Amino acid sequence: MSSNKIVLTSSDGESFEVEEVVARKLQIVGHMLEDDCVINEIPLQNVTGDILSMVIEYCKTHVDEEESEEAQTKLKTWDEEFMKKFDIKTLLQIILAANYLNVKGLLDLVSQTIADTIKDYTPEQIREVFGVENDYTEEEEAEVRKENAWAFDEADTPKP
Amino acid sequence: MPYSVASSNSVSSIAEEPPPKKQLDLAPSSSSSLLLLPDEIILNCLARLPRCYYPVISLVSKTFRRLIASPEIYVERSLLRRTERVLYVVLRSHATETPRWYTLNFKPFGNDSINHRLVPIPSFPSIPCWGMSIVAIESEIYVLGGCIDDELVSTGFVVECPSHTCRLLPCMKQARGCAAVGFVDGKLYVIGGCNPQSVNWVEAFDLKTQTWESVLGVHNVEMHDLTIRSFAIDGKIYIMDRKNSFVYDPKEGRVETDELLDTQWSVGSCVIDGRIYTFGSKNRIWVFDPIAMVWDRLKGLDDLPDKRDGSRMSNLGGNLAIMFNLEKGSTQICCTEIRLERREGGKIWGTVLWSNIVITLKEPSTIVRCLAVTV
Repeated sequence: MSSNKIVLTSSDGESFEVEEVVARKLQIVGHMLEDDCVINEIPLQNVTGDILSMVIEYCKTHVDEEESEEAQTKLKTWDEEFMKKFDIKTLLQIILAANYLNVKGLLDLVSQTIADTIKDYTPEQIREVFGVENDYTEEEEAEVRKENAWAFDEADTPKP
Repeated sequence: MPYSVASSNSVSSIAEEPPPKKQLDLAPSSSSSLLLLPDEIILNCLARLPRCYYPVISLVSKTFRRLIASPEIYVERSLLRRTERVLYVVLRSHATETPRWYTLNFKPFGNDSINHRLVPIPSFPSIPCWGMSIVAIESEIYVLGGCIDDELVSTGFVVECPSHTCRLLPCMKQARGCAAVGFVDGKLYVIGGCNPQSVNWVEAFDLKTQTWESVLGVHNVEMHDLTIRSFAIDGKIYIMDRKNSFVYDPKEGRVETDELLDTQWSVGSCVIDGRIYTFGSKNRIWVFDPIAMVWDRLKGLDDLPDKRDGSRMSNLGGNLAIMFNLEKGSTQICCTEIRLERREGGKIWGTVLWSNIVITLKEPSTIVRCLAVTV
């Protein structure tokens, strides 16, 4: 395995020297390297240094995707702990970066984390936690609630 | 659907919020709203949630509602292998005779004992009220033939369940009512439901070429022209008419009577893992293994209420779901879900997971069909 080093530079000018195998986990970098193999410094304009460092941390950990069950379990535990470090705002930035840099594993991981978070909340809490404005009028919201009355309404639950 | 991205700009209440960005080229600098992510990323998150959370999600905002109602979310769920087996149920009111479609939905919040509900599907395409053959293939329901205005028809259509939209099929060569159906090797076979002398007594619809072809030379062994129940198991189609049971093997082009199958098989039955589950003698649940050719009692369910008239069974993701009227002429419909397990000695044991009233109707209704669809 080549231990060639690649320098990745963020939008705010922070540079990270990583091994080529790690850099290739960012598929956007992988494609650039295929197009022109002499590159050793790559500017990444749509991601800031603090987010890029998280992405690199993920890629370093996932650089050897071992098949063994033990390695998989270990990685899974690491993934869970890794996700616990971030608030929602940071998660949203990581997911955008993972999408831009094309790191599929990280994109899946953050998507699943967001989905699991949504599961625990009421509509009001989802709006608050994820910064989503309620764009329904009162009438519209009542209408949607009515359509799904079975899911909310306890009153019409039949008694056995 | 009244809501779309384009129209959301004109809604005054979201004026303070910029419209969702479609461009990825901007640094996510200070944004902290999920809605600022591109639709495809939001879809990727929402598609990971079980369907039972959709009512909650649709209440969050118009964008969420639009996304979970979009055909794209089904594509995403399929890619992520997050599709679910959902029970579709047809009820026919004794008063109006009109078939209505429902899905069995799970309520994620609320008390734990009564959280399964039959929920009407608002816009399911209308189906003939009698004699149609219905079969589910993955995410689609095929409805063939039946009786419209006292006439048998040769028409058929497919309901795409993720969107509940309807697609017409080419007509069969033969009008049919109460025909047997079975999906084998990419072809949907339709048997009978018409004059047994017809050259098109058996037809097959090739899903790839989308064409019907007559299957010639199948010797009819006195099957009644009206069949009651049919299943495809392991390349063969098992058919019940009013009196007897038959097995049709499309490869051999042969129909044969099956007396052993006939001893227990009743209408409200289903196939799970290659075996037929049915209410049989002594009103108990029996299991038929077509390979070993044996009937056996389903073990461990001595407390289960006796067979009820008009009950229907269905394969719900490997579990046995039984839908039944609480009592004759009752407006309440109940459902019981049973987990199946093969224990030592090859016997199959059942454990009741839950059992409750799933809907209270205005009028007594017949449970016409229950079928599990992948959505």
